Amino acid sequence: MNRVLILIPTLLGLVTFLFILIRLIPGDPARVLAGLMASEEDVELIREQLGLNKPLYVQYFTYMANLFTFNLGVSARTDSPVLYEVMARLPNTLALALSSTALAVALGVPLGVFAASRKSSRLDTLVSTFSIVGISLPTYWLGLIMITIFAVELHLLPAGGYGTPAHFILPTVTIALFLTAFIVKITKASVIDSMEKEYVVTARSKGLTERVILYKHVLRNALIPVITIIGLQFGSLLGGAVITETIYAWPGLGRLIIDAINNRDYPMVQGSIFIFALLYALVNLITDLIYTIVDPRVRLG
Amino acid sequence: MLRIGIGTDADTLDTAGQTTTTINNIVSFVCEPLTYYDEKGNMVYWLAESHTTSSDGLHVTMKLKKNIKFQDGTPFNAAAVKFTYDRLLNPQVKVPNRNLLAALNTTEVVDEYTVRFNLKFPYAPFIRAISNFYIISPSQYAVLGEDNMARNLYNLGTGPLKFKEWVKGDRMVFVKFDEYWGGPISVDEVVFKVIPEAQTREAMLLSGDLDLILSPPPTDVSKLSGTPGVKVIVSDSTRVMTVNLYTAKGPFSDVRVRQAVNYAVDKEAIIKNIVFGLGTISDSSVPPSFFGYSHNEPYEYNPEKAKKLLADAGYPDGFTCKMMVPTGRYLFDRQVGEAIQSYLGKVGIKVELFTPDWPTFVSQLLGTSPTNSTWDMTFVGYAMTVPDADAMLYPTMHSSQWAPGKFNTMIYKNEKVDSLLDQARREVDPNKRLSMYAEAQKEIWNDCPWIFLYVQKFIIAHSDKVSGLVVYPYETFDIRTLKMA
Repeated sequence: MNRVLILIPTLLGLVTFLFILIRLIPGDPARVLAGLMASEEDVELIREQLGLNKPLYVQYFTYMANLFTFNLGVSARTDSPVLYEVMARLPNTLALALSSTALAVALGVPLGVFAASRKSSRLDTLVSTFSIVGISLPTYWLGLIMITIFAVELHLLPAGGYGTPAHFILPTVTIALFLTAFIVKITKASVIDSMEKEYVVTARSKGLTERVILYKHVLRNALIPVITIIGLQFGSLLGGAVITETIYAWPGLGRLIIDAINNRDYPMVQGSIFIFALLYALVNLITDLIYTIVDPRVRLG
Repeated sequence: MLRIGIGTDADTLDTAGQTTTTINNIVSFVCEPLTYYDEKGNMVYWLAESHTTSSDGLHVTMKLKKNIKFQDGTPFNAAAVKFTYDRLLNPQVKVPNRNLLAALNTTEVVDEYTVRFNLKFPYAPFIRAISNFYIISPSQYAVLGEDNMARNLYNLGTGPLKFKEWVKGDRMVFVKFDEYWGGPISVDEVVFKVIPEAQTREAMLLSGDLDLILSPPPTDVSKLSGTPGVKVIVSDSTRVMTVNLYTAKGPFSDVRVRQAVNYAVDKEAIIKNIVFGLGTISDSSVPPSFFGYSHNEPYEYNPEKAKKLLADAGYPDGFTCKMMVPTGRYLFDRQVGEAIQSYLGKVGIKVELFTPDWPTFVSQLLGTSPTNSTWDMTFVGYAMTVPDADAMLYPTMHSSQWAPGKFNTMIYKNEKVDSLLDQARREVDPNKRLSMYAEAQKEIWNDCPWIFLYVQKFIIAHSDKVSGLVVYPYETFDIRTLKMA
């Protein structure tokens, strides 16, 4: 319960911080909206309509008051409610986050455990190399290569856009590659670390096989840091993977946020990042809940 | 179905609220203007059929084409034109291009198919300026409501495409209007897909996921031209790339220094090596497709002459200065800035580059004043929406238009140019206007308030299944005569 209560001041602090931060960046939202060649009079009209001429504290309190009624305001750019714009894209980002995380976990955890149990063998080296490559490959390059091979040359998959299950494949793999490599590393390190604990020595001396020790006793403990990582990664994917979304023309939250910042769309920046933060906090809460299931020693306060 | 790939999504579909050429182009397929232009840039009548201007230049009377229906079945007539233009002048409505109608006072219905525009002052380019504004059906507007204008164009116009849906961030879908007055188009549905990454657009064209794309990666233009099944159209545009020189004080207040930098930069080499040939060297401050353009001799690449001019002006050892360049806004903007820095370095001018992001760039550019500037030189591109020399020269060269807030950011003043521009915008006789602008351009050419660089080219690539596409020298295209195999 404490954790939920702490959220409120945290999020309020975040919104205040965003409010100030976006206004510190140089650039006039009304001018960006009106375009380079609009007259100063027309820009001024737009500035009025956006409420930018009101004193800063008035703008702040109006925004905060609206926030308490779940009114996130209206995009300066499109005149469309911020909430509506975010909700139009969130499902796309959520779907991609789920599919790539699921793939990464399904591949990464077993591979990590496998590498830990075959430590220092040739297979282990193979998996480690894959790990390093996966973490180091730039998303931009990987995405374009995959499009070139699978869409342009082989005509197997669509190059971009969104709509059918086939559209999911390339973006999911692009994100999952990095994530898998990361999970493999963490899982392997955690399993190796757990295998050296005292209770494992005891279990061995009792005559249990390595296999039983690993899968029945160690795994649950070893997975705790892995769950943390998966939770954090999934949470940040909810903010959208901007590069992947751009390359594959995936209409997601990441692009929405970046475009809003570039356009100095204050309500959209504040609102979309606020929602992202809310979701991120939610994901962390759920991750904590999962701990209590996996590790009976942990209880939520 | 015709699938077109574009780079950015619309922020608004409102016919009054357009700020980008591409979305404006798309909206023009749904709602149409009174006048338009042809491939050579000549004005043509579109929904209007003729016009006369009063001898004092204050009244423009237009006769409208008859028997045209809006997509909602109501007739296109003078009342609809008045309704549209009254809305455009309404300060409650966001109209970023309202300054194009600065001359308009009132719109009058003379009879069912005759409308009169009463102007506040004589303004010859008015008849071209109205090609940017699209006529909407008053009855459909009443059905949709003002709040829907930004996102819903259903049955609103007279154009060949009917709005179907807009999935934000993803696509805009249109279907053919069977009773279009110009004859229905040959495709049933047109989808504009938003694909921000140029490489992905190209891949989707090559994989067959798209039929036509705008602005493929400029580095791949020659490769695409040689690819079987693909056609590439490289067309002139109106995007004039220049380096504004701050003339209020400092080294660029001396015309010899300004001429020197025009000799010091090898423009042909920049076009060839940096911009992949996608530019035409400037021979005027006005692009060739504008009414009033006239030719001047480009400043040839001559570093020796540049050095001599600098020495004459009192800078035998050159000087240091600051150049502002946006990034990611224009084709290879950063790289062009670096090339210019290098050329000027060779004649002794040490250039410090700074590259702010676009909104910061705009606020620094427009915040310039006669006493203060953060830059001595700035790379910038102008794409004026009215293809008339007045639209190009008045805002950028007239001394009443000095920054801050206006576009003569060079703080340039030439009384002869001022007087010519003032007269030419009121002059009703087109031939007199042409000679006034020719003289003005000659003066400006000698004064060098800019480093005159090049006019950017505009590229469209499409599958060879597509034919009958029309491309205008305004970064716009038309699908009315398009056919798909």
